Amino acid sequence: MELLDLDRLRQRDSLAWGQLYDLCAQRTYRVLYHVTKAEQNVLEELNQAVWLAAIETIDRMDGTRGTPQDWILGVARFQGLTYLRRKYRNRVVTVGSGASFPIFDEVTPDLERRTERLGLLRACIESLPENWQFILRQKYEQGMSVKEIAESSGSTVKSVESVLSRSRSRLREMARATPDEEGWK
Amino acid sequence: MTSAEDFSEADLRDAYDSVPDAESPSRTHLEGLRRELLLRTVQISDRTKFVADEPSRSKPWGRFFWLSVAAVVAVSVTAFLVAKPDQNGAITSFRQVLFETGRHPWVHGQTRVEFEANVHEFETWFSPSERLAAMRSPQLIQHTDFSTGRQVTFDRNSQQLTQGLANPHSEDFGRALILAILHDGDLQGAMPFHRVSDLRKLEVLEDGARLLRYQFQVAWRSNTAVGWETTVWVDVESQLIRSWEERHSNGTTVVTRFDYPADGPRDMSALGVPQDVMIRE
Repeated sequence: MELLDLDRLRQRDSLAWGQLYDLCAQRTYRVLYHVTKAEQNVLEELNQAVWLAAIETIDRMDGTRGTPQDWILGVARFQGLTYLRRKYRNRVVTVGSGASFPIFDEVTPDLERRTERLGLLRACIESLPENWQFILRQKYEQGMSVKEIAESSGSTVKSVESVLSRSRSRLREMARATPDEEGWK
Repeated sequence: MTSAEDFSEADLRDAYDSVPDAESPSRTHLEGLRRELLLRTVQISDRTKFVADEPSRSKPWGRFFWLSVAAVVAVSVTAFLVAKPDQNGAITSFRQVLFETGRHPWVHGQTRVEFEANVHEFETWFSPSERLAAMRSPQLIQHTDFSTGRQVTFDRNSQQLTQGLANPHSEDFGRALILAILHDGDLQGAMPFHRVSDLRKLEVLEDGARLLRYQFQVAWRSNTAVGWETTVWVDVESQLIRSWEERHSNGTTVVTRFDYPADGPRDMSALGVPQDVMIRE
């Protein structure tokens, strides 16, 4: 996509950054939600940190490893995980100014870990292409069979299976590699 | 932290069943962050001009007159241009502060400039809806209609009244700043020969009142050692800007305190200029 040309982003072109923001700002927020489960004001501060960090570090993005959309969503996962690490390390964390303290539910560590793990998985799903997400949702939320998904979307069974396979592969890849500050290791 | 690396098919189902869909971010957040992000960008087509052009040199006090007007206008015109009737609620961005402040019919600033042992004071007014601005100092009175570009100046020493068009390329006059705001609607656009950076927000308590402090840095593109830090104090409850402070690299400080009158000077006579003075073109 021409407007999301990496060179233009590196030049801090307002048109390119506006386009990337419009495409991804809500998604970075949702990724942060799934990773952190933080309150709205914290999520907004984190989302702000994601985008301001992104524009500062765009020069270090490796354009051979994915699209700018993939990269910014990786930055969001990193920010979310960093927040969680600080939360567990210090039990108290503030993000920017005006942020409230996170509320810690009295839950068992196992349940907490399980919830966190599923949240991270949802964040990774949120980072997939949206048409892939749609098929995953039909399969795992609505319980549709591959054949039903193919019929409902006018696609083929083989094509749906391919998307599911690639989605799972990409999810494992994302979950395995905790993104660094630039979004990718 | 546990990893989701070894997830199963059941995990995928649970991820949908157990984890609620995320709520969408608020429009206020999205708009405010978008503006903040774009403050850090440039328009590619304008970049060559930015680098090549030098800022005009200013007369010491004349520049600060219009810095003050610029502060009022930066608050007001920007807000006027982007006003959206459904914006309300807590202030989460400087963008919204500008919007809220600009809703007032008139913005009045009382400015104090200090440089070494010198102190200078003057007043500025701006009406976002009527596109009028005015400045009154011990030496000079000026009134500008932004919708027509007509500016009238009264020299209090010579008692002469002159009328002309605003010079859009003179920073002394401040028109460039105003036009840039009208064109771009953001701080970077407001100061095309400068780099605006490091916008920060902090909430503080002062005598029991909740205030938001916004700070950003401005530097000349041609000489980044020259610039200033702007601090804007905002009352959280009223969502209005209390003061706009600039601390320049040469030691000058410019502090403008705002109030929001219902009415303001619509012509020179309202600023105290005798009506029988002849205007020279």
